[in-house]
Amino acid sequence: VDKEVADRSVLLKNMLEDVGESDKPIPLPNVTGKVLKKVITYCEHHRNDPLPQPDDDLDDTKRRSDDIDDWDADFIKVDNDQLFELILAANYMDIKPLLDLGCKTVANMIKGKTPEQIREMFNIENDFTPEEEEQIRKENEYVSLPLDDSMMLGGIACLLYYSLCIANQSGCQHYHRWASES
Amino acid sequence: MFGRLFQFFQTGRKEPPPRYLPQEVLETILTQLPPCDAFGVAPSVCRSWKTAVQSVLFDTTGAIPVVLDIVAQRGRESAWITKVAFCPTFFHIFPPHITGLRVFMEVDFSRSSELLLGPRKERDSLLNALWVRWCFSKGSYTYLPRIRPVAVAQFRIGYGVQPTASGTTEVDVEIHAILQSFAANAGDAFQPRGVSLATRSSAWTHSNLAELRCSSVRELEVVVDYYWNFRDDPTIAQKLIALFPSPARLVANFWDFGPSNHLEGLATFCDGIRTLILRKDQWPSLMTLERDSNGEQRDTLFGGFIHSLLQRFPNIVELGTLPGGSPERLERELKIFEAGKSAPPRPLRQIQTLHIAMGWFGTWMNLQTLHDNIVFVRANITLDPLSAVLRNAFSDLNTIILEEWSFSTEMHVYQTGPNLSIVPRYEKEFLAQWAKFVDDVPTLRVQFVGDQWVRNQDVPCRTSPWSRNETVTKWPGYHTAFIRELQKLTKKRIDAAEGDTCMLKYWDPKVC
Repeated sequence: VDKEVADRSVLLKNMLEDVGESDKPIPLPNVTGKVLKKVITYCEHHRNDPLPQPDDDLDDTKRRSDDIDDWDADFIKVDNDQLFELILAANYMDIKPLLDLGCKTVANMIKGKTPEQIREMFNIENDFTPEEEEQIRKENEYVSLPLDDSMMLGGIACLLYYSLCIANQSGCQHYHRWASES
Repeated sequence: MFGRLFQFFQTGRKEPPPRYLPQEVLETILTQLPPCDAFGVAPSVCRSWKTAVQSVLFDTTGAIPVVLDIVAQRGRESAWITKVAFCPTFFHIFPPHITGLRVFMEVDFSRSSELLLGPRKERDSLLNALWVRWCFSKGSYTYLPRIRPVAVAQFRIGYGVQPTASGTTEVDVEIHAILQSFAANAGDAFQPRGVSLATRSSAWTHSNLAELRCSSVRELEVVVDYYWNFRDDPTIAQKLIALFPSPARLVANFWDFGPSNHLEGLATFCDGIRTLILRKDQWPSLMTLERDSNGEQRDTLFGGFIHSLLQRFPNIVELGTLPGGSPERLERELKIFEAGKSAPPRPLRQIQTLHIAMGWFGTWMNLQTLHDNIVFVRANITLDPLSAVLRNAFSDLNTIILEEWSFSTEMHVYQTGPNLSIVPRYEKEFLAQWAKFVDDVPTLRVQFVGDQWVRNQDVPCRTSPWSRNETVTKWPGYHTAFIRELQKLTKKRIDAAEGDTCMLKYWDPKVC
C-alpha cells in the first residue's frame, strides 16, 4: 500500500512516523483481512481528499446524514455485519471520513424505527429489566402542559388520527372507508 | 429475551453475536439522527444506547438543554410569524456546542415574548408543549424527555419591506417590551447574544428604543430599508448603536448606504468590533459605497474605502461582504488598482477572514438549463480578476467565505412538478474555473455558504429581483454537490457553511 493511502489512517500514519523507513509489517490485530481490504479500497479512492481537521467536529454542516457521495453510497452497501466491522475498523484505525460514512449509514437505517425494530435490525439485546423499562417510560413521560387552543386542537387531532391508524392496522376498515368517502 | 430464544428455536439458526459499539461511535451515530429518534427512541434501545444519549444530551436533571433561536418577521399579507428554533446542545463541551439537531416551530408572537419574558416555570412548560406538538406533527408518539431552555442564541425581529401607514402597532409595543426587558435584566443568562433588528423607520426605532441599552448583545444585525433616511438624520447610527453598546460582531444590511458619516458614527461607539459585515441589496459593487459628500462616486474598491474603514475600526479581523461584481467591473477595478490609483501603501495584513458575495449581478454561475431532469450548470466568465485583486490587497488572509447572494436566481430551477428528481451536472470548464480560483486565492481554506435552506415550491422567491410573482424551487443539496465536485479538483480545503444572517432560512418548514 502506498504511504499516501496509509496516511489516511491516523493510527498508521503515527506508527509509520514512529517506525520510520522499515520493511517490518505493522500489526493490526483488531481488523480482519476482508475488512482491511475494504478499508484500503476506500482509502485508495479518497487518497487525494483533504485530511479532516480537528475542528470538523464542531461543524454542524458535517453532520448531515443525507449528504453521502454516490461512490461512498455504493461502497457502503454491505450487510450489517460488514458495516459494523467497517465502523469498528475505521474507529480503531482512526479514519474519520470512513467512520462518519459508516455512522451516517447506520443513522439512516435507524431513522423512524421503533426501539424493537432497531434491536432486531442490529441484533441488540434488550438488557433493561422490566423495572428499568418502566423507569425509562416515567423519565420520558411529560406532564400535562398548558396548550393554547390551536395547539390543543392540533394535539387532539394528532392523537385521534393516531388512534384511528391503530384501529385501521388492527383490521378496522370502517374509518378508512368513511374518511375516503367524506 | 424469551422472544429471542423462541425465535432461535423456531428458526433453528444460530443468531449472530450482538453488536457492541464503542461509546464515541454511538455518540457519532446519535448526532446524525433527527431529534425524535435521538431523544425519544434511542434511549429505549438498550443500556449502552441510553447512556450514550444521556451523556451527550441530557443534563443532571434528565432534561435536554436547548438554545433558542427566535425569529419574528412580518410575513405575506402583513401577518406576523414567529418561529422558534430549539437547538439542543452538547452541554458537556465548553462552551456548550449547539448540535445539528434543530426543531423549528411556528408560534404566535405573544408566545415568543412569553418564551423570552415569562417566569421560568411557564417558559419551560410552553417550550415542552411546543416540543410535543412538533413531535406529533412529525408522526412521533413516543414518550419524550423534557427540554430545558438555557439560552437565547439569536432574537431576530424583522419588519420586512412593507411598512404600514399607521403608527405604532400592538406588535411594536410588544417588541418594545421585549427589548425593554432585555435592558432591565442585563446579565441574566437567558438573554440573547445576538439580535437582528429590521425596522420600518428610523423615527420609530429612535422614539421607541431610545431609552434602552441591551448590553448583553454581542452580535448585532441591523437591517435597514429605504425608509431610513440617513441624509435627513446622519446621527441614526449613533442612536442605534447606543441601544446595543457592546457588539463584537456587527452586520449592517443597508438598502442605501448614503454618505459614509454613519460609518464613522458606528466606529465612534463600536471600537470593540472585530467582525464587520456590511450588506447591501441593490449595488453590484462596493465601489458605490465610496460616495463623497456630494454623492459622487469614486472608482475605488480595495484602496480608499477599505483602508479608511480599517482606520475607523482598528480591531477588525473579519470583513465582508464584498460583492463579487461583474467580471467587467472587476477587471476595470483591477486595472485601477494596478495602476496605483487606489492601491494601499502595502497589502493589508489585518484582515484574516473575508466575506465575498457572489450574486445575481455578478453573473458568476448564471446559466443553467433543465433537460431530462438534469441541471447543467455553466459559467461564462473567468474568475481570474477576483483572485488577482485579493492576492494583491490582502497578505494574511486565512479564510475566504463565498456567500450566496441572491443565488436563488442562479441555483434554482423553475417549478417542474412535485416528483421530479433533479440531478446537477457541472460543466468541466465551470468546475475548472472555480478550482483555479480556489487554488489561486491567498487563503488556507475556502468556504461556500448558502445551501442550508430549501425553498418551498409554492412560495415566491423573495430574494430574486425578478421572480416575486413566480414560483421557484430550490434543489436541496445543490451547493453541497457542487462543493463535492469542486473538492475533487483541488487539494485546498473547501467547506460548506451556513449563512449567518439569512433570515429566510427559518421560513421553510422543510429545513427541519
